[in-house]
Amino acid sequence: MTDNCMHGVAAEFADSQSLMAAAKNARTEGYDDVDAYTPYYVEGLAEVLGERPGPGPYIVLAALFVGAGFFFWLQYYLSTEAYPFVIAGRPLDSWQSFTILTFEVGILFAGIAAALTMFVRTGLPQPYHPIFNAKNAELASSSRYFLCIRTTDPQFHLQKTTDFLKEQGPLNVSEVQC
Amino acid sequence: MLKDDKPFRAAGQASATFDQPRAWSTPGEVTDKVTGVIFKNGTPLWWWFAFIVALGLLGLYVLMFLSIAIRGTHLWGINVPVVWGMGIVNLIFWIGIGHAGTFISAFLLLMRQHWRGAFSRFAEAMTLFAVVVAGIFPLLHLGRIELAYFILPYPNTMVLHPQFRSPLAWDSLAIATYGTVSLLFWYIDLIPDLGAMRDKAQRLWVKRIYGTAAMGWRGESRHWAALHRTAYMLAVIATPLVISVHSVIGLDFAVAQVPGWHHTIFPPFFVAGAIFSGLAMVLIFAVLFRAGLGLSGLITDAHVDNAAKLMLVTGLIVTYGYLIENFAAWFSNHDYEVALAVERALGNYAPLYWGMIIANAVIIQALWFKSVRRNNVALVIISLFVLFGMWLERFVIVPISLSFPYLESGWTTFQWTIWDVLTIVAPFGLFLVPMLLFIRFLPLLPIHETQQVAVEEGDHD
Repeated sequence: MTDNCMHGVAAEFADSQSLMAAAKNARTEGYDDVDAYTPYYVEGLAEVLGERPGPGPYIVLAALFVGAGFFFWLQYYLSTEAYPFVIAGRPLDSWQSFTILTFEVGILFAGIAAALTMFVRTGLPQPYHPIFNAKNAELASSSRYFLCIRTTDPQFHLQKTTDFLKEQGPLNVSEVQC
Repeated sequence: MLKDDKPFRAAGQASATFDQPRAWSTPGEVTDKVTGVIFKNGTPLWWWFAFIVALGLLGLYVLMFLSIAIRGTHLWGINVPVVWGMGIVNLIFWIGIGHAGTFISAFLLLMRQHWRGAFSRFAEAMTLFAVVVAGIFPLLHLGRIELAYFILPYPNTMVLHPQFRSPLAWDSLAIATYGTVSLLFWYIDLIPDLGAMRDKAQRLWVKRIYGTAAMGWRGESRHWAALHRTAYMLAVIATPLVISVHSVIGLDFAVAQVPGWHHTIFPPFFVAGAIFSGLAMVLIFAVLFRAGLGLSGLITDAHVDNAAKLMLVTGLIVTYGYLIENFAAWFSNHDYEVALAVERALGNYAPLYWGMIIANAVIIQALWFKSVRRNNVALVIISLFVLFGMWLERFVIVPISLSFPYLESGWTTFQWTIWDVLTIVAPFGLFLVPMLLFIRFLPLLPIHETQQVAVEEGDHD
């Protein structure tokens, strides 16, 4: 029944509550490959659609320690081995003065890691996506909320899925081409 | 990750905080209003006027920069013992301007202050441009800008390396980190709004430009979750960062043994002063943009009122700093510290010192009154005084302290040159040109965040 050149069926809703209810119903029906598109962050929606927290925060934490550790080592090495320079008889390994940049470079690594994990997780930049073909898709950034059941879902059946979405009280339901 | 941050307002705060009639109530209206500034309203006449003035200043900046880079720092009025002049004064001033942006976008996000949304985007843009302006000054001040890369640790055949036991070597990496994290934070929050701009644009080539910048953002719920999480992670790391960057600048002075610099209060005193001056700049822009671009429904009196209160609080911390500085001079019983405190207040520089006190400690007391905080003209005037006063503060700290070294025969008064004046005035061009381009081509407010607030306010009405 699935068409190779079809991405899925999308329903357009007027508010986030209807979208949330429809998303929950779709999950209860057993649909797995469901995407929702909203103009702003709707809390809990991604979790309803099966999103689980990824390793992002741990990667960021690890980057923080790698950056901090690397730069502490670098300062220590440069001050004691590579370019030892005695100033007023103070010890070369005065680690207290290395702590500030240890912190700064840790932050730098963590910030870059945080941004990279987001791009890896979202797959952006991705100039083209079939959802842009849905009816009124350009309203997804301002006033409309979309729920799309993809053809890749094992349960997908063009007629049944369309009927299911129509029962959820959408403004309209449209087929989304690739 | 912080899942329960649904309302961008403190518990118990009702929509009554918006005591102006709102021009929006649904997400669609928010998008129309914010994108309308760029696509529908056209370019206002004042924008062209401001842009031409800013371009003129930018031209002066190029002249100043090239002259000092090619002919040398002797063009400035610096000499022994006042070896730090306008290059350093302006570095501190401009990086301070930037601090309010990060403070508003990161710290107030963590504090769940929903009113920050009205300011966060343009304050963060302000941060970026101010950091660029600030970061160029120390390079100029080096005197040999073509060798500026020597301040970075890199493998080299001379076996020369930066001296990391000196705070001066910390600045370059602190400022670079600050600039990088601010840029990431600003851009990631901007991506969904660039998507909205793409969807609202009429012409194909305009759509393509915004669509490319938005990286193909489509508003998928999983992407929203990732973006939300990343924004919070960046806020968590940017908050200590903003405190640390100006602390490092404070340490440049506190670690030195010059009378007037060697104070333990400097790092926190500098941070408060930075946020203070930055909020003044934010308030000036908020009031002017609101009037000039017709955003009164989006930036309300309540928003401006809150920012003015914050400015008062940071101003009081700065006032405390002035008191402690003089107390510490007296309490130290150190001849040269006492002499500096007396010279500063009663000597040749007295008008500058008292100008600073009046602008930063006296005039801001008017902000205790709600009628002043809600008066646009009064707010702009007070904010201009604060900017002027905070610039004077940096002048008081840098050249004035250096004018009174331990060798009394060296006591001097700083002599200005025309290049010092240009170094003060011209950077406003480098700052205002990108700022004006930003308000003309990018959404001035975070559309998605304002939509979220609009929906929640609507649910409560």
